[in-house]
Amino acid sequence: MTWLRVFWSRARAMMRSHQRDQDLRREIDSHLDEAAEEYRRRGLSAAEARRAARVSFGGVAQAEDAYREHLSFSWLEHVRRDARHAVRALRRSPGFSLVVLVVLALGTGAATAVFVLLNSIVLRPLPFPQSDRLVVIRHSAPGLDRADVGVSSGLYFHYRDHAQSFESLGTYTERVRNLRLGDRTERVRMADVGSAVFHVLGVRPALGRLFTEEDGRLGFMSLKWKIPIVLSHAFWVDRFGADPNIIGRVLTIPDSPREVVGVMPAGFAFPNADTQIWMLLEPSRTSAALSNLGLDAVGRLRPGATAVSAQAELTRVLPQIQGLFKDTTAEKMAGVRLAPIVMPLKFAVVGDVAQVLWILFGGMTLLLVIACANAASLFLVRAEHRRREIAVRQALGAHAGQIARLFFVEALLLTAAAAAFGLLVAKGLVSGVIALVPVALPRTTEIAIDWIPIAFAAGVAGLMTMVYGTLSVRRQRHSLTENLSSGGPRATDHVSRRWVRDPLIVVQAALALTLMTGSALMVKTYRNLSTRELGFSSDGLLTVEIGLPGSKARQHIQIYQQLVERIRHLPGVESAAAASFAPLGGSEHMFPVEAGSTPIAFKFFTPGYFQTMRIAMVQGESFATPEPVPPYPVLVSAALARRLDAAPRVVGTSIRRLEEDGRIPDVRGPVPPFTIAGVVGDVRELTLRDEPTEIVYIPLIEPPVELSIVPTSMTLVVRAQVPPLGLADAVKDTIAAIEPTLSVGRIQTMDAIIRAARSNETFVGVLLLLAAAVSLFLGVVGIYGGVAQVVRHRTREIGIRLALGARRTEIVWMVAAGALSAVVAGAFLGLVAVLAGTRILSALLFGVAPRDPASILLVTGILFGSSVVAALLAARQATRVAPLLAMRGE
Amino acid sequence: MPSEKRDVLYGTLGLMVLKTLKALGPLHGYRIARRIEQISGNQLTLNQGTLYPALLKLELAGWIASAWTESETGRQVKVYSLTAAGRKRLRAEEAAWQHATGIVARFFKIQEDPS
Repeated sequence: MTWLRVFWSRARAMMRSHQRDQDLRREIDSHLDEAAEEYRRRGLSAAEARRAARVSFGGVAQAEDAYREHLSFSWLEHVRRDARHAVRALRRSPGFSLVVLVVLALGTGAATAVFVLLNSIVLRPLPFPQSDRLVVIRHSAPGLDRADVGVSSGLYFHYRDHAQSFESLGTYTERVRNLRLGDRTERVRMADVGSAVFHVLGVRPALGRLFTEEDGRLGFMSLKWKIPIVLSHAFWVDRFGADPNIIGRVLTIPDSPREVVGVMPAGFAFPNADTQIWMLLEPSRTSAALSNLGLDAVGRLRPGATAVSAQAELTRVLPQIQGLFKDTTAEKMAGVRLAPIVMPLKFAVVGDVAQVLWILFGGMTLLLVIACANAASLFLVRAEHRRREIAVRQALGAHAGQIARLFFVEALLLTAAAAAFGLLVAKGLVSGVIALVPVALPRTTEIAIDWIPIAFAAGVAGLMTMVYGTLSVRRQRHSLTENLSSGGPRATDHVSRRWVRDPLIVVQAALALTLMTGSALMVKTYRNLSTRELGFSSDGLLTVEIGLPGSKARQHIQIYQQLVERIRHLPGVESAAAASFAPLGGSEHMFPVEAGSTPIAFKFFTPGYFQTMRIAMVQGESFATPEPVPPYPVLVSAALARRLDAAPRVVGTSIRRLEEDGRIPDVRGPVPPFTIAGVVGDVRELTLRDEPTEIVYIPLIEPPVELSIVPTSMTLVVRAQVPPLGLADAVKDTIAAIEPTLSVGRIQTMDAIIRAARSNETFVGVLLLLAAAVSLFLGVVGIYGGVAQVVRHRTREIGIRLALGARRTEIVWMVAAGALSAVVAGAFLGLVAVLAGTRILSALLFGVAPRDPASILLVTGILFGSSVVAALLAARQATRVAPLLAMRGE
Repeated sequence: MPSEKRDVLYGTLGLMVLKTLKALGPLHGYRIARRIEQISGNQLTLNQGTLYPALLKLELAGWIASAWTESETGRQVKVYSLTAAGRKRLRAEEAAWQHATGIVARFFKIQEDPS
């Protein structure tokens, strides 16, 4: 391992080169002194002896240089010299350098940006110890017509006691509640968690303690006991100024005292990034097992167990629950048809964004490949142009290795600079994407450009250096004399040249077509979603979320009415009303009805809601004026009316709400059923994609509904004659004046809610459209360059042809044919890719087939059209060739 | 990078240095240079400056080691000594050299044979 030792000595020497130099000088001085002394002893004078010593030593400077040469990495020196050469060469052709730099930087930047998102959100493990063993348990319930429900307390206990796959299991639910802080009331985002949850996740508090099993038991024993809560780090810093004495403080949520026992560390985000308070809520064994499937369950798998094996075990264990709870009768279980689903917690957290990001990453990778192919053709052209220069270098004694090194160093410089700029572009893009696109990205706090994206960009640069270096070197593989003599335009196009150039055009055309098709499909999807009939008008509509403390639930009708009345009279307000949720806002409330086993969405509203929303009345009552109405009247959506009753008049029939376990609600005697008093137009309440929602609208009028279902979360809808957000302060002031215990949540325009409802599609659409535009541009530039190159190479031939009487159109066709046939081949490959690949997009598409012929035709047309224009523009140069000049050539 | 190939460093200078150090023990640069000149019966006038890069090369390869001490004339000098690796290397080089010169010598014999 001699070389290794030499390497280390050199490395050390580099660090201490100054000391080495001094050492050598001392050694030489002592050598000269010794020599001089010997000469003196032989009888020379002091001066002569010194001279003689120097003569026999030889050149001191040469010796020092030779010495240093050994100490330095000579190849490093060479690389430095080559780099200087390369910089000079690149600066001589600023156009080439700049274009390559921009093309590669954009390509790398776009791909790296999406890679950063993909890596941070999808690939990196969740920030919990051994997070790959964390899973969530959910169920499908085809009997209830629900694909995705959670667990009940009964199921939780059953699984906890009988399933072996889990080390620990815990339940949680997300809630929004009112918190009184001084004289302010605010909405806080909470999670009610069982005492096991923190243990399952394997986290520790930053301050204080977490919930213990003891906590759960204590609750029933002691009257003085307060339910413990844990604060998020951000909430603690924000609202309490990071008060170290927060432990033991009592907060009122929403009406009862809760004791702060701990603070989580910064960055702990569960179940959501914005969860502010965790409150202990131990599931109760007395609950039924097949109703209230609204809990989420998170578990830690035993080592060796997988989500698949755990799901298989739960499926086995589930039927044994029969008879253990009062509602787990054979009949009920057959009716619900519950099936457990176990999936990694990461899937649950990341959701469909994973798919979105993978699609985008695919798209951006295509773009990067196009950019690289484009730059490759530029490198080729440049290598062509330098044949004579290279030949001269060869003639002057440069050997093949040195010339190859020159090309590689040039390529390395450009790709490394492009990677560096690309990272900057990526950084900008990432923050731009997070800021601009209204997409609900999970794990945004974890997004960071760490070493992995940097390694990614560096890897791309390294690969490209190899490709470009090799391509450039291959261009030079000719004998010296051939290179010297053929540095100029040649008589005909060389076949070997087409061998590389045309495939590059094929690649670019194929990938551009793929990207363009994808973006066309997304544009169509976006248009379909944007023009979707909503059933209401969002113009000038402001929504304000409010929360009523439970203690005021009995007065809810008066409070909401008063509020709506006052807001209606604010200047700039056309009309106002309130409902338990805004359409498309992501909330829904369900209850089972007697008419069938499917739970139906319901929504409370105050009179005037449909007028404010401009939802059409189909038949019957509007509740706008106090008219005589049937007892407990409700409205149903046209979609529900269609399903409930094929008979001409659904109005007047009754509909009964059931408890979750199927009983008739009972408040000192059975609660009377609702009477359908009217039918309203269809509204997309839940999602843009689904068919119109089947929903029951329950008016908040006298007599009130049962206290157990009184809505404490409401959304005010305000139709404004002025820009809606300008009313926000006036509305907030009004709320505070009427009922200071009301909390105010999100204030947003209806338009913003609609935008958010199609944010995934917008996100993908915008980015793919950008990528497609860039890819088309690069492809077209590549074709132009390719044809221009042909013209340059064949100038002489063109001259001869023109002199012999060829028509200009023939010449144009002749030079453009190669590139255009490459485009046709590329388009063909692209079509194959599209037919095979766009199904990946299908989950995101709406109202358009993945192989939509119109879209494919359109983009193919655009690709051909712009290719032909580019090729003809470049080919026109050929017709300007002056025959005599061309033939004289060189 | 130098390797274990059969190249004699700096022609034969490296070999001479190693042999000198083996024969005479630790020496400083000037002594080594003089010794080489003496052995060759002053037929080899060494360009003494070239000795130092050669010494460095041997040192980097780990065949010799150096240390600053005082010379018999009372000067600070850097003294070089053979290392274990250097001894091994010298043996190998010596054998290779004998082998090579033996072959060449045989060729010269053939040439001188009047036939």
